[in-house]
Amino acid sequence: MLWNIVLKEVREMLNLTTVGTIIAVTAIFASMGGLVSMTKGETTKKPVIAVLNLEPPDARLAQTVVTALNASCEVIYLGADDREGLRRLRAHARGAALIEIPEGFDARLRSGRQGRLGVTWLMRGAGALDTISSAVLERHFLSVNRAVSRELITLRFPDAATSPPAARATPPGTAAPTPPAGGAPPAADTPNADEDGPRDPADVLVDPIARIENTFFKDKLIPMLSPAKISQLLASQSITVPIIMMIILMLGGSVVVSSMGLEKENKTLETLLTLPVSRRTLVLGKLLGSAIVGILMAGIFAVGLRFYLQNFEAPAESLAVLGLDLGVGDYFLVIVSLLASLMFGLAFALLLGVLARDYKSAQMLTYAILVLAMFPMMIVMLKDFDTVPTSLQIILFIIPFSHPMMAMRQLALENAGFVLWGILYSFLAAGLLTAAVVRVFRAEVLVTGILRFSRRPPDAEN
Amino acid sequence: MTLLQVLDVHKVFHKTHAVRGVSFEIRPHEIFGLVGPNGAGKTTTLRMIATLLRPSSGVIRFEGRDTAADPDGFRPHISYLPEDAGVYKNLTGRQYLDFIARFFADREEPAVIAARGVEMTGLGERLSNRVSGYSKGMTRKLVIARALMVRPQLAILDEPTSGLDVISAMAVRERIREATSHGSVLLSSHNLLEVETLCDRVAFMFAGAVIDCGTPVELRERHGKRTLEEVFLHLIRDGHRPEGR
Ligand SMILES: Nc1ncnc2c1ncn2[C@@H]1O[C@H](COP(=O)(O)OP(=O)(O)OP(=O)(O)O)[C@@H](O)[C@H]1O
Ligand SMILES: [Mg+2]
Repeated sequence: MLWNIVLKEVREMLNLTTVGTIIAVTAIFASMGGLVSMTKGETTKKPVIAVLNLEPPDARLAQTVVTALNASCEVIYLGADDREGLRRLRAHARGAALIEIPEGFDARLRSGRQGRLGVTWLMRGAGALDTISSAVLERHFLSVNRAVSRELITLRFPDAATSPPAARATPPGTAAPTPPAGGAPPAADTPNADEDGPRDPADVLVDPIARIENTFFKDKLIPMLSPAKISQLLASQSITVPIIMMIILMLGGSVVVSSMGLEKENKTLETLLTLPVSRRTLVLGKLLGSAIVGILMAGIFAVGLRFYLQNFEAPAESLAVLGLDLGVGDYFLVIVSLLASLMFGLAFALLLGVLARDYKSAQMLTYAILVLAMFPMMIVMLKDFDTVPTSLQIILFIIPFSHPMMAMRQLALENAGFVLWGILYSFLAAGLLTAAVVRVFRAEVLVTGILRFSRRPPDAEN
Repeated sequence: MTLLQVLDVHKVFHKTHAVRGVSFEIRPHEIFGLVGPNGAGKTTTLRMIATLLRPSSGVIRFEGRDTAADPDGFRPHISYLPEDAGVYKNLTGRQYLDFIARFFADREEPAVIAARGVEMTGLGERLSNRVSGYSKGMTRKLVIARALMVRPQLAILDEPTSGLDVISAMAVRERIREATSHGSVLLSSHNLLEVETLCDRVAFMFAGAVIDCGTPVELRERHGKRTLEEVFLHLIRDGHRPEGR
């Protein structure tokens, strides 16, 4: 008895649409895994840097830094020309940062103050995976720190170095047991009158280096912030629009799909199709109706979402400081972009609804749309459009749902052209798809369904 | 003298050859009946006439024009009642009639059309209830009224009285008779008594073809039987195969 019912359920639910949807979702996650493993290479590869050494060659502590960096990073430029260093760095696909050892670095350290390293980051995207190389480099600074610290201690306490070196992470060349050259004044003699505030000389020994960080986000110079901070500030931009997009799509899409499914299930479709209305009116009516319902429901949803998103949101003024805030015109473009891809999504949903046999399979098909929207959403959260491989860029551009998701970031970077092209493309795709749906409405698949076997078994009533 | 002409129409669904060369014609202001066993191809034929399906071959002409060439232009002249027509469940009967009437606003005041529909249903008070609470027969009455209230030139009714009680069926037959003052009616039915009394001409369908066609009197005389039911049995049981038309 039980198995009879179980078997019936399985047979009912396990059809081409459900299996197909699952396969599609799996494929997306698999390709996402590919993307992640691609960037995994970046965590194991040495970060690519340029080093600007403005100290003379005999500045030992500066040399220590260079040696430590050389050991952990791929240094593609070492010299004193900052333009050249930056140029080489930009030319390299994985170029992460320009590290500047300023004049007087050595002397400052010897005088018991923190040495300063200038770090100019090249940030190519704000996705989670985009900032990996900077996170890796961040880790290597620890070993630089340690190397300098070790060197300082050796300078101060020459005896310490005679005992067997406990250097594990320290590059070998730096642990030279040379006596202090010219006996630097003890740190206690010169209390730090720095803008950093007074520092205990012991602290300087343990933590000898201060970093002054600037970031080039694409072509924009953002002073005093590291990529990690910037991507944190941008998180709200990268999360809000995709979430709203998904909600509108989910609601509007399921309205369309289920309206088609219900027309079939309730047997109202045939009557509708023989009424004196053009197919185009019928299709547009369905699209517009569901768009209104979708937007209305999403509006209600958005109110709740605001409370949730407040946690992610960067205060608008901090984005303004970065020069990454959006103007009214920018928001308008984002909304237009949203509408364009919503239109595409609804037309797509209608097409799927037409192909579905009944309400249940229509509901299943809604997931197909979500899958299509999930793909760009996940990529956009991980990486920026500019930093994904070309093949993925093409796929992203083709899927209209990606455009509103990317719009905010692109507009923040004053890349309105990209957004406008995206809008144009989305409208075009939506128009073409709508025209295709109208064609399908003229065809008889609408009545017969796409499946091969008879829609109504001929046993009927009698 | 013909309103609708069906000429050697075939319909093939993948492997099923559902309709195999059907021809007949409908004259103005007549009631034409299609009868035949289950699966004979009646519904498929009616759907092709209603432009829901395209004939695989053959033509259907309305007032001399090929309907497949301009379905949008042809549709305003017809009203199609599917055999299992449904209604939007959230509407009341009244709202449904209003909804349909608005599609015909260029022809007549929607309120007038809807009022006629209300009258035709005979559902009275119940029209202000939601359709989801209707019985099968009540829904059927509603959709029949919907099909006839717009006074089409050609009403295509697939088993209009199926599921109706005796009295309601009589009332519907009366509505169908009245409809001939504005146009023609093409209907299918399994009730041969009904067909005999209602239809001016009848076509017998079997296995996708019309095996005989004529007025009830002609058909009875041709086969020497007293009722259409006996003619039907004779045609189907005695192995009458479709040959010449
Ligand atoms: N959409 C379809 N796809 C495939 N075969 C179909 C389809 N619609 C009808 N058929 C087949 O065409 C044949 C004729 O069906 P049709 O519905 O026209 O019969 P009918 O005369 O109306 O029968 P009934 O008296 O049971 O209503 C049947 O064999 C049926 O299986
Ligand atoms: Mg039928």
